[in-house]
Amino acid sequence: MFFEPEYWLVIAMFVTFIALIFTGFPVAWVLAGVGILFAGVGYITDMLNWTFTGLNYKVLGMLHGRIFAIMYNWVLVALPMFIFMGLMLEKSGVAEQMMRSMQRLFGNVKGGLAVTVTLIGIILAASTGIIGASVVLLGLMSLPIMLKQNYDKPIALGTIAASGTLGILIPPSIMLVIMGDQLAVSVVDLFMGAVFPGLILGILYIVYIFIFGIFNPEKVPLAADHKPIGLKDVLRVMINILPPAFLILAVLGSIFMGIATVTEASGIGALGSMILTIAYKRFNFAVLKDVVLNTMNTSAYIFGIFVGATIFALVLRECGGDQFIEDGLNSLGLGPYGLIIAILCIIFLLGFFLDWIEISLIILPLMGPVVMGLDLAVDGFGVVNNPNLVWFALLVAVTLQTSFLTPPVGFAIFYLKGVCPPGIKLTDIYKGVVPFIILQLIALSLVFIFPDLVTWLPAKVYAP
Amino acid sequence: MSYNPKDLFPDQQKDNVYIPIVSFLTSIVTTITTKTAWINLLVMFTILVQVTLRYGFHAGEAWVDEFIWHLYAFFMFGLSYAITTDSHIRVDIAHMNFSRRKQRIIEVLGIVFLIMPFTFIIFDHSVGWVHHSFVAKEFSENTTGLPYRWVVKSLLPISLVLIFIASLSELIKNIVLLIHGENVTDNHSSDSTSAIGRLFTPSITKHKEV
Repeated sequence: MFFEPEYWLVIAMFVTFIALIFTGFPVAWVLAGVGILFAGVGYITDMLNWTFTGLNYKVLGMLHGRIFAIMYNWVLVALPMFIFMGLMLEKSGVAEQMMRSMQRLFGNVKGGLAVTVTLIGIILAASTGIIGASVVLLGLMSLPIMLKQNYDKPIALGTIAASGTLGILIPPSIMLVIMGDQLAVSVVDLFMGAVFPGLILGILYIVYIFIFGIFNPEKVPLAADHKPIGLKDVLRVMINILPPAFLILAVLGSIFMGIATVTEASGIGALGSMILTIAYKRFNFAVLKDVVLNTMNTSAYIFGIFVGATIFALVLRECGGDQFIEDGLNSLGLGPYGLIIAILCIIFLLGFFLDWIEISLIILPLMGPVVMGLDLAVDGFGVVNNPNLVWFALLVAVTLQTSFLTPPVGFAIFYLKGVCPPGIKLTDIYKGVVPFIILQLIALSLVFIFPDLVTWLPAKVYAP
Repeated sequence: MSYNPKDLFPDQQKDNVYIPIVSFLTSIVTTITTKTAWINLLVMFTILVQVTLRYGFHAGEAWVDEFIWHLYAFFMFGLSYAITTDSHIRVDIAHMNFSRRKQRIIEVLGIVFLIMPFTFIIFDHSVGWVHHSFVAKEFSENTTGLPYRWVVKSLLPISLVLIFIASLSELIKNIVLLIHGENVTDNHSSDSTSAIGRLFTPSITKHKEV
């Protein structure tokens, strides 16, 4: 690989970025600031004839146009709408209702409570997609009940952390909206591609908990006051699960069947979540105001990274950063699949300290062109556009999930620790998440070995 | 109950101090942004209108589509709000273990060398860009789209001004507390007699800020 002098600037930019984010200053501003700073550095090294980046004050005049492109974006309108929907559903009390009725239904099975938590995790996942929020909600809601029922701490904590992270994968997920935007693939394809990997993970969790219950019945005991279930209990579960399930299926269904665009469906979903909250009698002005402000706040910190990453990426590209990454990855001589594994390993490690937002916005745009050029045997069945990238995006999604669960610094672990009663040690959570990490790696390998798991559904839907 | 995970970390305590000038600057930002936050509801209802028009009456209008993203573009105002609530994502593995003093020095340096140059430079470029759009009477690319493209474009420089005000407020707060020390008492008559001096004098928060 030919080493241009500009590549030193690229390396310096990355090193400065990483050094500065560890000071704890907001990532969005570090990205923006380092971008601007290196435009100045490039200008100076150009003047000294060390480099030929062409960076100057005028080049920075491209930036407002790039930021405006984020504002002028029809697909990203879905982002605040899905965030609103998730936050509103959280307030609606749907989760607590489901918890109460499903607990009764699974009350007679060893590990039933853990299965309940997983199922609620799956339904919450479909609605929010903000990991911190789902883990915290699940933790606050179910941990006290599980501990009261004398659950072994690790299995209880592992279930909550793992179920809470399902949110970033199971559609409609805001992460997939952003990945679609960054990799220039259809968000609908990503949503459909995520269905099977998400289901596989959910099923693996539930099967594991049941098997665990058979071998360690004392660790997942029944409630002291469990009663035999009657038809009434089944009915109550149905009544409680139907409204949110209907909302999510309506949103996903209208997207998958091509009736509505992702943006339209997100707006309708947001409205639906409000109607649900009204129906559950939890709706009042204070709740609405809280959700509205939180929606702006959550959108803002995501879009903050968008803006910062745009500035960083433009200056990086001017320094030849894209070429550098491409040359660097290709010179590893790993072959297409080896390269994918290498990229996933990098993302896994980055996931220890970066959120999915930064990774999707900084790393994916750099890796996208490389992956697109690889000779991969991903079958798009002739109807899925860019099957390689769709498959790659889903691999990244599952990898990130695993990364968030992995000690010592997984995000889910920290969020969960924040809501744990004082008696629980970090090591309990570490012990609890290990089996779930193994399950995630199994799911990741399945998606890796059988790309059809991702592309089959969109292909079937699009098939004439 | 709010489930903002950040609230649950004891290390990320809010500063319970009241500095007149800081509160004034922050209130400029929050007054504007907490009102524009409601625009998301408007986006929701406009999407509903658009869906009804398109599927009910087969009459999708380009200007309705554009109106939706024009409204959505107000998210840019939220960036400054997130500064006042300290919600922008930080990598806090090391940060949590720093002393309060060290954290404040990082804030000051970060605001001066990272946020402020960025807001200045993009503001400088974007004002001319909005002006050009205004003079040229830039219209939508769609013939049935919305006129006055400069209106939505002007949201960018305005939001940069808001980011600047919000970060200036944080900057002053951190500098004042660095000089004054962390132990703020209510006895502020002693350190300053001038009106300007009082603007920068911290005291314990009496009223809960919104």
